[in-house]
Amino acid sequence: MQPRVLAVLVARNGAQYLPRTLAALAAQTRRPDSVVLVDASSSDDSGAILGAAAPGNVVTTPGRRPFGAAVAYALQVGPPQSVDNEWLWLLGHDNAPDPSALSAMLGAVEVAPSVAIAGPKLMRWDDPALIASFGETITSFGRSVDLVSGELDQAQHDLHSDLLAVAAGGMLVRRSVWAALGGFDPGLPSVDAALDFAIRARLAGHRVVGVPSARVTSAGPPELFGRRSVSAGAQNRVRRAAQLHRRLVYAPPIAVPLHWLTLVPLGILRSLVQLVAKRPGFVGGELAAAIGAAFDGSVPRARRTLRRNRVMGWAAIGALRITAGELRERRSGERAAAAASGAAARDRPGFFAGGGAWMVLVAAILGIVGFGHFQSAAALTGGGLVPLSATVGELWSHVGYTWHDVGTGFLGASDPFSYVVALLGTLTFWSPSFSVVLLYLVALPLSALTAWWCAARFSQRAWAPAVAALAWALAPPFLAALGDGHPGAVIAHILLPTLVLTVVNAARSWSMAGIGAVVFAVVAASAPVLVPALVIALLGWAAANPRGIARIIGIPIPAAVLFAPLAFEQFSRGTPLALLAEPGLALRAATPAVHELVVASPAAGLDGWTVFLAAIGLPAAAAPVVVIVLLAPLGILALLSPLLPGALRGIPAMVLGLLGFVTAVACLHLQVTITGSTASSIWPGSALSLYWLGLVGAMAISLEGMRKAAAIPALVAAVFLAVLAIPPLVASSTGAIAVQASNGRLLPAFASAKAAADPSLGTLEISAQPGGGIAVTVHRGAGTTLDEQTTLAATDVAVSPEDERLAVLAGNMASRSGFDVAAELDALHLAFVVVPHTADADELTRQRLLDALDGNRILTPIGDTTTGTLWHYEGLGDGSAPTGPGPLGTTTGIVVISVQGLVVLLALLLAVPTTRRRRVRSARVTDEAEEVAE
Amino acid sequence: MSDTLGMPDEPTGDEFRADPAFPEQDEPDTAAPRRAVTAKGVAVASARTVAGLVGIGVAAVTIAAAVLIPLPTIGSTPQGMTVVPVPTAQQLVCAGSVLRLADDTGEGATTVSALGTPQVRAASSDGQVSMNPVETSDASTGTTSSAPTIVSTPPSPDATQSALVSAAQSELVEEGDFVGLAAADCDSANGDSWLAGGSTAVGRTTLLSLTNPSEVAATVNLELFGEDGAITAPGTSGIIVPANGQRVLSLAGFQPGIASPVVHVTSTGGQVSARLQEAIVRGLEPGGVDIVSSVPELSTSTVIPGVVVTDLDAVQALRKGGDPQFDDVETAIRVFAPGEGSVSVTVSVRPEDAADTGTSFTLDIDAGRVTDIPVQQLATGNYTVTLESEAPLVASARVTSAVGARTDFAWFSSASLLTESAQVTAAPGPNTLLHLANPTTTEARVVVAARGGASTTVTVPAGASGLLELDSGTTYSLSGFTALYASVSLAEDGMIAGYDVTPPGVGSAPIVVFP
Repeated sequence: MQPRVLAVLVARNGAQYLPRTLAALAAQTRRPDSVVLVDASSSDDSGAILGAAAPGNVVTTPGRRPFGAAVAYALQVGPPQSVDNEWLWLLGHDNAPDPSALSAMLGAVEVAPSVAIAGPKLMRWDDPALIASFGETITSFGRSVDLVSGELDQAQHDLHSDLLAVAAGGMLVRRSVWAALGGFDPGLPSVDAALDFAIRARLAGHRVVGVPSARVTSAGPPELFGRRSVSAGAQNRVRRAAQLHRRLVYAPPIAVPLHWLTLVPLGILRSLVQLVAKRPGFVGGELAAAIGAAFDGSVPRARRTLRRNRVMGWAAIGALRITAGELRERRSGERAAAAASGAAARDRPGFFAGGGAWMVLVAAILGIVGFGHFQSAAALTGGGLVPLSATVGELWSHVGYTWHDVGTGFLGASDPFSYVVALLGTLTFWSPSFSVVLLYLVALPLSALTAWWCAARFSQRAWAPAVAALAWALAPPFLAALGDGHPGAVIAHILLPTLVLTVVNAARSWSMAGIGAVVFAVVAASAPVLVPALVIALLGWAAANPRGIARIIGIPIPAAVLFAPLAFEQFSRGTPLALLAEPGLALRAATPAVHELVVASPAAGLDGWTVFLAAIGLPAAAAPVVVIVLLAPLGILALLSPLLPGALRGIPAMVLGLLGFVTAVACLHLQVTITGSTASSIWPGSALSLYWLGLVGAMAISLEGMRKAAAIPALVAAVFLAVLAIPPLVASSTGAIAVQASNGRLLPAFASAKAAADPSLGTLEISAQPGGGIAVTVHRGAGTTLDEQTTLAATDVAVSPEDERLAVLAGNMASRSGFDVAAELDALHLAFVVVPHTADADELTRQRLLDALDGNRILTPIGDTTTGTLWHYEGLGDGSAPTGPGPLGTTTGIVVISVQGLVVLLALLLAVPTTRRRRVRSARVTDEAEEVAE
Repeated sequence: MSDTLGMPDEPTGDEFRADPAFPEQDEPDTAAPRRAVTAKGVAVASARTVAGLVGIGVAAVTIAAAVLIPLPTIGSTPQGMTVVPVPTAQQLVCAGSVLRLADDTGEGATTVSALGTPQVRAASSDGQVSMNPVETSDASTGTTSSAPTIVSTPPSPDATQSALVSAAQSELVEEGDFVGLAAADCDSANGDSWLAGGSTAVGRTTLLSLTNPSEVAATVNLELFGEDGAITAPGTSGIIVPANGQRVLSLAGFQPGIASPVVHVTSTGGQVSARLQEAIVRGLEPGGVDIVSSVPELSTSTVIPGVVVTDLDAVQALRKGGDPQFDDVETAIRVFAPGEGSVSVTVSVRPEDAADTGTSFTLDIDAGRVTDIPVQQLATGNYTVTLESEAPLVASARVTSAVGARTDFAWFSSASLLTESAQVTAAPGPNTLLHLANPTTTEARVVVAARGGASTTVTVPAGASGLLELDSGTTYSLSGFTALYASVSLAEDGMIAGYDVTPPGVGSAPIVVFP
């Protein structure tokens, strides 16, 4: 009996394809016996085109329906089955068949009565020589795999006819089977609908074949049906959702709860994997698919349908699944194809051949000259440096939202810098304070290395990176930060070139964006004052790279999360500007004049030249002239950069420098840190590092632009900048800097020894202030370490009741007074009083203080120590130090630590370098896809 | 390495790029200048020039603006908290009796013994005063009434208003070589003080008395200066003064023959009250006794009020013989500025008689050496001596009183500035006068109220001095001024003594604390 064929053509917004498809349908050598044209709620003029083609046979679905549901609706309202041997030919608006397609498929099904489904070879709409899809299968885990995709058709697949499944477009299916199986699963709106249907047909005892001689076009995968484009993330979500739906449907009843329980954990795990694979856009989809599947109401009905029709075991389709070996082979083939299409690497100077190693070596030697004498030190103190906590555990107890033993103690957010210090200290876990010594020893070569790497990214010749590396390692703000003890500024300086490098590369790479986010967070934590300038620069870079905008805009996220608790407290205190305060020990330093900022001197004294010239017997008045002459090559080369080739890079470098300079000027006018009786402005060194970065960057670009002529200016600039660094290096090597080697003790040895037995033992520090008056603070245990410092306390101007209590105690101890000092010392658990040696203290006040303490009967004078004059309160009675919960002791603390930890972990996962993968590209309608790929 | 392998040198990138045979190797943007001049090339070059000049201009304008435009400073100011110390028992230390080396038989020249008992008067504004002798003394006077007396008042019940307490002592000695009147106020112990007075020349005995009223032992270090500069001597450092005890040291024991010593006393641990006691014997004639009180700090503006010259003619008569022993009967001002170099000092000597502006002269003294400036021919009368100097210094005035052959002398120390209110006790003795010097440019009306008695208002013209006779042994409160120097003198018939009025103790002043 001659088979009867009912063609069902479903169109949704397919006006651009319909004319060709309808013409192809009409041109069939074996024409379908009847045709139903379904308009699945098109918004374009698909309906009109269909109506014009076959006015009587157009069915319009009520509302948007997926392909399978549209077919079902058409069959429901259309003609009922008239003969037993009736076939349905399912076509989408983009499925234009070859003239012989239907006859070829009918030929194939007629010779094999067990075949219920036949699929044509789907060819690309825009390039009929390429196979879009020919057969689908699943892996042993149930993931669907297209057997062929994007291959040039050379008849290489024409041998395989028995398939697990075929695509929906162009599928020829026996109408009785369609009816028995209930059509496509409503739980699978697009992806895997045909696959699932074919699997069910197979389990019901039917065969599925592919007919290579029947060729039908296809403009894209099923999820694209009726849409212009689907983002990569959405595509992944739909595919994952379909896979999970099928998993729940196919699983044996006993395994369903297990699958259900693992849905969300697996989703989270897969999200992390997607991050590592540099596909952060997939994360949302993974989670959405997992949660969607967990509440998928269509599963029970689908399971019933499957059970009702299944006559064979799952083993029946086992042979048709793709094996692990075949899968590996396919993947390696894909990788090879991707690698072949990769752009050729640019010509860049090599690290060894291009002089990078030499510059690092030179910087290392200069570093040893300047700071080599610290190598045997256990710790460094002086300036803004104090030792770190003695153990790694203590280091990490000062992060997040925790109790701070500063003053009378308070519960509050730590500086993000405490994470940096904790990480640094963990590097030398056996003696955390030694990590700072190590930082000093490697600071110069490390900064030369990062600067060289960064400059090499923009260079083809060796001169520019070499000079940039030297200029960066010997930058005046850097040497000043090392000499005056600004650990945050040192770390920020070392990392700034890395930040530039990663941010520039982040425009094209997720991995770089991840590294950039982590580096940005460290830089921001170490030098918060740079954040406004860096954010402005990032926004500028994002605007210049609209394609990479998602990657660039995300870079400050970890930093924002790290700063969020501190920002909340500072904002609610009404002092948002205090967020910019330099973390670490608050210092009272002489502020430089603005013209000294121009020559990148973060402290008064013109990069150390005023003192140096006086020391070698030259008039100090010559210092400005010397410094200007020595900086002239750098300045001139930097200013030339917009005029030379490469101006497009020179201008951003200049803008970066200008941002740094403006920040440095702003630093001088922002007095947020309180040290005793004075408010100090922010140390402008970090901002000057940014300024210097701009100058050195512009210089490097100028040198690059000069090409062969660069040698002489490069040499002159390098020699002049090296000479500029002589005074600070000489000062460091002769020990004439604030930072000194130390035994790691913060308090006099006697107090440290006593505190070792009782870590909550307090030492009251009272210091006479420059304008009269005294400042008071409390050290617990061995002293207030670098990781314990908090800007929240350093920028606090309010006097709390606890502060007041301490002030009353100190004020009375500094006087002849009838105050019951002993009771208060007992209550606060204070056993020592120390009056530090301060150069700028008011002498009369200091004398009064010493006299009063000396005359206090309950205090035993211990005498002068390196830290200060010490008294011991021997009669310490019962009492306990005020104490509070650690980072994990409060709900807020746990939330803060978990959120911050999670965000940083995600950034790190994103940063992990993975093998080169094909760039993830949005699925688009094929003709546009090619354009995008270019 | 390529050499050792016998391979040709690899061409570097530079050579490649420079080779005109491979122009395509050039980067498009860098290649532009090498190509023939085209309209596009010119446009690119001029656009770059314009952009570059604009960029340089922006940079220059920003830097110039930052340097030239004054920007406001924003930020927070530290909130200091003024802590008023809880009032405590105030302590004043009186000098104790006049001392001598050797006992009354003239033996035991290394031991110190007391001569008589001073008369001590003390009073507090809230009425409660206790007087106790120190427990131990080098003069073996511990716990006796000859020992230095510690005058103390219990803490005032009102925390903001601490009680004013003052005390003074006087002793008329007439025993062997020691004849004269010695009077001193009782002062608070101090960690750092200066003593200008005394002499260790022949016939002059100068003893240093260190009294520690506190409950902890004090470690005292001395710095000695003479007319020839600093004096280094063993035993000047680490002198332990026991709690509630007195140490007495002879200055001559450090170095004899110093005509003009100045002593700087610093103590750690407990605080001490330091005093010098000088006795003069000229040949066989006693020349007088006096106690020199300490000055707490050096100043560039030093005022010595109440320098009393009782009888110029009698003093001049003593010098007629030309005996160098009598050189130091002349009125002199002892000046010492620590340090090096030369210090210009302007000395003005103004009679208390308001109509007379007195004389003033300027001279250069050597810092680091003690200078005695003789003020010859100072007529009988009361004077206020003011020293204005470039560098901080300590000064005192020595005055001799004579009636016939009987002489006595007194050291008038510089007075501390009184700023609000003060209390003074008139030591028991003859002809007790209160001298007031007004350093301000406005007239001061000082209310002097006897404790439990009538009050008198003394008008002190701007820059001039006032005088008031006090009842011996009575305590007075001084008020109604913003700045004032005051001293008390006792003088009669060849006996003279004096002391300055000290402000209430600074140890209890409020202090600003920055928590």
